[in-house]
Amino acid sequence: METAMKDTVEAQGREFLTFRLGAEEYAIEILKVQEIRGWENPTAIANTPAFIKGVINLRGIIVPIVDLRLKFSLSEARYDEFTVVIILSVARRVLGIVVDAVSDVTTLAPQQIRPAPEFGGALDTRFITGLGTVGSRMLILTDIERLMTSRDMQLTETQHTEEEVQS
Amino acid sequence: MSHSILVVDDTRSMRKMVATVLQSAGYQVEEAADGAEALDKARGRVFDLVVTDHNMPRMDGVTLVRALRGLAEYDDVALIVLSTETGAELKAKGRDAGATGWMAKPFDPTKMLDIVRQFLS
Amino acid sequence: MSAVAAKVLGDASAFHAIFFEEADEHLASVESLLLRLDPGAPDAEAMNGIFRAVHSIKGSAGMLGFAEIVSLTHVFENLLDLLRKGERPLTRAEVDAMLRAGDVVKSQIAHRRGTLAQTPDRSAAEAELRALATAATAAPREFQVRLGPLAQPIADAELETMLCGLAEMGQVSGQEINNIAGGEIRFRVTLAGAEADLRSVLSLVVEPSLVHIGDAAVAEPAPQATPPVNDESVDLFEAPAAFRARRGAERRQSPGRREGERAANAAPAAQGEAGSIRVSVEKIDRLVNLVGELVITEAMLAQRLGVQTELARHTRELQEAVMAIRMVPISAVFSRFPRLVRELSQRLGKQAEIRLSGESTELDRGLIERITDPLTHLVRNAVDHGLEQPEERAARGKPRGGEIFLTASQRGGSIIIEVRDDGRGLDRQKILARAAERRMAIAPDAPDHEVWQLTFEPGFSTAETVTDVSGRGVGMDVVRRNIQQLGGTVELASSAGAGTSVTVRVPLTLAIIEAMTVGVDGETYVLPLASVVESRRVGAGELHGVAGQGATLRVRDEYLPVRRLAANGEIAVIVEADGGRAALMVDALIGQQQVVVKSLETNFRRIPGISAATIMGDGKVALILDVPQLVKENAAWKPQ
Repeated sequence: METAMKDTVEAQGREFLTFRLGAEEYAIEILKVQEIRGWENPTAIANTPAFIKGVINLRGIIVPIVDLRLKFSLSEARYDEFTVVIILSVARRVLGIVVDAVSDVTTLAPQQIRPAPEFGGALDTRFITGLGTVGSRMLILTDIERLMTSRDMQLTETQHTEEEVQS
Repeated sequence: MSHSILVVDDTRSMRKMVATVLQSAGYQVEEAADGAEALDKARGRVFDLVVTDHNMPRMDGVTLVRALRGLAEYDDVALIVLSTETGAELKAKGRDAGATGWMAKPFDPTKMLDIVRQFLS
Repeated sequence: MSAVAAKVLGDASAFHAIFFEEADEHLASVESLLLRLDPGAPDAEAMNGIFRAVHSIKGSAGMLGFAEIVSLTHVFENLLDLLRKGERPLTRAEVDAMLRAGDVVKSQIAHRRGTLAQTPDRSAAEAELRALATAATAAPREFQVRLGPLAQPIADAELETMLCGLAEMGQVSGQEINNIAGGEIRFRVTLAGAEADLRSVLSLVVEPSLVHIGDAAVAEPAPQATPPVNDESVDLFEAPAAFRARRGAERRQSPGRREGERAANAAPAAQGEAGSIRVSVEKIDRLVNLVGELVITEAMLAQRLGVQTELARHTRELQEAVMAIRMVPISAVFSRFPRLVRELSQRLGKQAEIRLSGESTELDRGLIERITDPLTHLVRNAVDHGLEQPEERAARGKPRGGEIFLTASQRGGSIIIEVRDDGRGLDRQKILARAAERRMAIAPDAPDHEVWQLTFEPGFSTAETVTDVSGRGVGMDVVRRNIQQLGGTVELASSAGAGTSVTVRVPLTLAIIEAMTVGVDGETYVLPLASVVESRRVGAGELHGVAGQGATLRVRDEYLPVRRLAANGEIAVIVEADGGRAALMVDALIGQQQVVVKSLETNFRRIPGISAATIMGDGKVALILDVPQLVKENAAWKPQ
């Protein structure tokens, strides 16, 4: 029964939040988006890569902020009243990403989605689940959870330098 | 006005199950975790019926029954023992102590409700 | 669960959670009581306690339809009953068998709960318990069994389980199985045991009222208008009709007398013994968080008003009261060690006993979870590396059995836990030799406590044989790191031939600490006040460079390593950790306040040099520095 329901929902289309990074538009599942905020100066953390801007206080929760513009060297990173931070809820964590602009929430029906190309783009193709077309716009469907938890985002715990031997 | 039943069992899950069965039939239920607590509660108000386990710390079911029978206002309150132990010797002790009946665990909810109803009219 | 019970109880999953929790407690109690039993003089109270615990699990499991748990606990209970009545002697064999059975029940619970994938095998445990119980008892009897008339067919799997179970207990023959609605199942079974036992097993698949044991010639009960009152599952000592009649008569007779009696017997409501209530962990944590936020808000307010208010005192008291709710006695951790030591020593061919004290010492619940692993490692180490084999001990004039003392106490704002053994102690020469091998610089006449500290380095072990028990001594560095992450310290003391003691100190609570805030390059950082020794302004000329090792600062008689947090900081904060000290250079001392410790790892990861984060009065995040790590990076010795 659950799969039948899921199929129905899929047939009607999935909802995506679309945002702009550099010259391209990306789309991520709306369910992963917790909220959208403006920019506030995070507390910087030494010895972390430049694209990790630091952490902010989000109603009592400490949330790391990653600037995707810097990570993918896509565009000039400005921090002003127009800067947008998307707060995500992925893999049981809350994280924030800085993007150029948020476009809208779009529903894509299966027929509007094409498989991802083998090459190109700023993102590694393993994070791209497909290409969506809405009118003349081309949206890069991104598996944002996989992307944010990947090794080179450096947001998740790395291996301990001292292996713990099982007693 | 609905009848009140005191359910006594040191096992919380068992207590909850018995209480739920009785409450589903509209009875008002109070719980106690052992004989001593039950006796305290029973002195504070007179229940219309008591269902009690036997194996409990501090005061076991049969002893509770005996104590309740020592209170005049419990003279005509049915006291049912609900226990996994069904040996003839123990049942006889229960009967001597003044129990009205002995039910085996695991219990059949319909049967319990039936017995309760018969003793509460 | 049975179809009928399901109808009335509805969704049983709410009961499942309570049952699992209860079962955990009962099993813990069973194990603890079993370990304390002295086979020579078994304590009756303890035996009854174990019986009741197993009995409870059985009863509830029966209601919820967990047949496999009922099956095992039933056999367990039988043996316990015989033991507590003195009908069988209690020996170590019984205790061991029951401990093993308890483990299987634990696995069964885990399986039902969903935390254990494979179905635990109970046959060995059941067979063992049964063998011990029925060693020389009654001769087998033959029972005629009739189940029915069935309201609906029994699930094939259940029926099969039941028949197999009976076949294991004895012999089944003459089966006539009509497993349909309205049908009956008949067979004969020969076994040594009570009818009640048989009835219990059969009641697992059909309602108790449909179980008929006796002669096959019993006629089918005639359909009755009112349900049969005296069947095997219900025994009424007084018929309802007679009861009602009697009652009516009494009531008519003397209402007044009864009223009087009631008034006279109205005892004052029981003061209630120290009652306790269960509260979910989430609620407690939420409460702690809210109080934490209150602390921050109060700090903000104080900052703005520029003055301390009554509010500060009330907030502090509220906070202490709330933190007290989170306190749990350390017995929660200690209780597993007697079993651990017993099994470990058996496995290693040693004789060891553990003595616990201070089990009622309380610590924060969050700490309890995180202290368990390190302590377990220390206890294992003591048995494995610390204690000698009985022969060696005897040769040294020591008692053959070794002792491990595990004590907990509270001193000020810390909990002190000591693990001490009366074994061979640390071998200074061996450690120094190993240090030389690994090119660790240490003076040959260094004091003992410095030599012992070397054992905390990764990969450091002088254990001759590597047992699978505690690994190659890699554990000590992990133990220390774990304790440090809790804001605590570990120290070693040892006396050759006499034993070793490890002392762990952890702060009482994890969540809120007294802190000193400092300014570094325009940012605010936080230092745990407990780690701060003193602070003072430092002139440029006071920092002495030591070739190849950075600057040092002279503080009274010591030259402390300097760590420049602020590039041009002129204020030195002297901090201490693990017996070492360092001077941290900062730009400014901002203040002192309580802060709520928030983990960075919830949404991020561990950052070297940072232990956690907190939210300041202005709402900004400030990082809490990892003092032990900062001190260590400047430790007196370095690998060459």
